[in-house]
Amino acid sequence: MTYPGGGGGEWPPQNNPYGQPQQGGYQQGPQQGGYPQQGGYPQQGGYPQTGPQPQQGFPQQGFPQTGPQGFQQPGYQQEFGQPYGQGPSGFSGGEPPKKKRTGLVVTAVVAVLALAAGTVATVWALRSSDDVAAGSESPSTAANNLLSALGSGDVLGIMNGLAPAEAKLSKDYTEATISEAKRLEILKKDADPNKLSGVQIKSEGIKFDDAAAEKVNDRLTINKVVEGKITITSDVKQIPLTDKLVDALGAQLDKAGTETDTIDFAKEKADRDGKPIGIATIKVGDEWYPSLFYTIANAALEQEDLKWPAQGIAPAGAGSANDAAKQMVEKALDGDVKGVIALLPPDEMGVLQDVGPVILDQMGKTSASGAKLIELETDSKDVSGGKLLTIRKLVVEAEGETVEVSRDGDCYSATVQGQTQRLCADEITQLVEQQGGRNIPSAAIDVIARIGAQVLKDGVGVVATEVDGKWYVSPFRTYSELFLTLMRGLEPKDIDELIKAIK
Amino acid sequence: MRRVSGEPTIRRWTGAVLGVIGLVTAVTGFFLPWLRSGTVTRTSYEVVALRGFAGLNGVPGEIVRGVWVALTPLAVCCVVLWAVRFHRIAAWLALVFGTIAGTVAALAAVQGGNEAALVGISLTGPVATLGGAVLGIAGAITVLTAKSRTAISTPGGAP
Repeated sequence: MTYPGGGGGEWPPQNNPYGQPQQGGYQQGPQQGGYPQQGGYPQQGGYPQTGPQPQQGFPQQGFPQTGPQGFQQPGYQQEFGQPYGQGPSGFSGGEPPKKKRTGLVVTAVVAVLALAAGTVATVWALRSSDDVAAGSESPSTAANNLLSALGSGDVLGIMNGLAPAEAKLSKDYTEATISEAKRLEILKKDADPNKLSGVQIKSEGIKFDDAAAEKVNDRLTINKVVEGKITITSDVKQIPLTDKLVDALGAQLDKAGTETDTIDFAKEKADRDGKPIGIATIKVGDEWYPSLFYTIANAALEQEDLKWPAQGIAPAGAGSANDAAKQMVEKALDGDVKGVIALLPPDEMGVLQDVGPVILDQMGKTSASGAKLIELETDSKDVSGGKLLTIRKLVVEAEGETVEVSRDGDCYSATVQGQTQRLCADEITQLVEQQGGRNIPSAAIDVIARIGAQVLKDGVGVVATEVDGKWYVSPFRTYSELFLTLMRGLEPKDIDELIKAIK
Repeated sequence: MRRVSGEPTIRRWTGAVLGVIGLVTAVTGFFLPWLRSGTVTRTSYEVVALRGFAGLNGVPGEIVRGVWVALTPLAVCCVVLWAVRFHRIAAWLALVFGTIAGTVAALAAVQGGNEAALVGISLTGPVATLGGAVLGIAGAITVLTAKSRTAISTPGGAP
C-alpha cells in the first residue's frame, strides 16, 4: 500500500488494526528539516518495525543516506543517537530547523582521507615490494652501491647487489655448509646463515674517479676508487660455536680477540704507483652489478701488468647435462683449454671466458694426453643450482689399453688389461687397515673409512648447470659438492676426536 | 511505548573505533623496520622485495607479494566501510586482515631480538603490526558480538 507523497503534510490514517494513532516516531507529522518523504510509505499501523526493514517506495530526498540503505527508516532513532525524519516534539509548521550535516561531512572526510592515504600507501607498497634485482643504471652507481652496503655492514645489500649468478653461488653453498656445520656440532643449532655475526664492516669517504673508469667492453667496466677507507672488524668470539668447541679452543679464542683491518684506498693507490684499486661491474640484462670474480681477475691482471683482452672466448654449451660432462672430459683429454673454458657456465664463470685469451697466452701450447674417451654414462641427481652427474660407466682408451670404470650401487669396478678390481663402501675400513697397518689410530681409520664410504655412496662427478637452454659444467659447484660430500661423511664424534687431538 | 536500546550501538561504534585504530597501527607497522642488516633497516615491503634472494621466485613469490601488498587496500576498505556504517562487513574484513597480518608479524616478532647478529629481525615493525592486528581483531569481535540495535523493550506486552 502506498501513499502519495505528502512532504510536510499530515499522513493520512494508516491501516491500523489496533485502532491507535501512531505516536512518537511513528506519528507522521509534518516532515521537517529537509527530510520530506515522497512516494508511498507502507506503514503498518502502529507496529514497531523491529528489524532491518527494506525501504519500499519512499525515496528520501534532501538527506542522502550514507549508511546501508534499507536499514534506516526515517523517524527511528539513528545510530549515534541522531534522530532524523522527526522534528522536535510538538513542533508543527513554521521554519524548519537547520539541517545537521556534521555526521555526513565527517563520514565523507574520513572516507576520502582513508582512500587517499590507502592509495598512496598501496602505490608505495607496490614500488617498495617490486623484486629488487638490485642492479643499477650505471657502472659507477653499481660500484657505489656495493661500497655503500659494505660501509653500513648491510650483508643483505651486498649479497643482493652482487651479480646474480655470484650471489646465488654464495647463498647456495653458505647455507649448505652452515647446515653441515650445525649437524657436526661445530656451530650451535640455532646458528642462522642469515644472521652472520662476528664481522663488522664500515666505510668512510669512499670516492670514485669517474673519469678514470676503464670501459673494457660493452658489459664490463672497471671503476676506480681513489679515496676513502674500509674497516673490517672481526671477533671470533661472536661466531656461534658450540660450547664444547669454545671450551676446547678456550685460550686460543681469548688470544684471537678482536681483529681490525683497514683498507685505505688513497694509500693503496700511492703504494701501487698511482694505480687505484678497481671495482669491476658487469652488465646483466639492462642493469649493472658489481662482480667479485671480475674484481679479483682485474686485480690479478694488474698485478701481472696484463690487459683485458679485446675479445673473450664465446661460451659453447651442450644439448644435455650428460653431453656437457662428456665434452668436458673429451676436451680435457685433448688438451683443448679453450674448449674447456667455453664449456664453463657463462653466468658464473663468464670472467674466465672474458679473460680466457690471456690465460691461453700465459699457458702456451698444451699437448693432448693421448687418451681418448670411448664411453661415458652418468647418473643424474638434482642438486642446488644444477644436476650432479656421477659416473655410471667410463671407458677410456690410452696407449692401446682400454680402461673401464663402472659403478653398481655403492661399489666401483675398474677393469684394466682384462683384470677387474671391485671396491665397495663397506670394504673401505678393511682396506685402510690393510694399507695403513697398526700405526693409524682407530679413530682416524673410522673417519677415513666413513668419508670414503660416503664418496662411494654419493658417487664422484661434476655439476652441470643450464644457462639459456644450454648445459655447462660448473667447476665452483663441482668443488663445493665434493666438499659437502666429504663433510657428510663426518660425524659429530669425529669433531670430538679432532678436539682431543688439538688438546 | 517502545524504547530503543543504545547499548548495541555504543558497542558497535566502540568496536569500530578500536578496529580502525588497530588497522591504522598495523598498516603503519608495515612501513616500519622489519629487517636489520648492518646499520640498514628495511620495511616489510622491502623485505618482500628480497623474495628472489630468499628463493621465492616466480609465481609463489608473486603470490606472497600480492597478498602482502593487498593488506593495505583491505585495511582501507575496512575503514571506509566502517565510516559508511557497514559495520558487520567491515568487521569480517578486519578479522581477515588481522589474522594474516597478525600471524606474519607474530612469527617475525618471535624470531627477532638478536642484536649481535649482522642480519636480524627488527622488532619495531612486527610489534606495531602485531599490536594493530590484535586491536583490529578485538574491534571486529566487539562489532560482531554486538546485538542488533533494534533490540528494544516493549512495555505493555505485545500488541
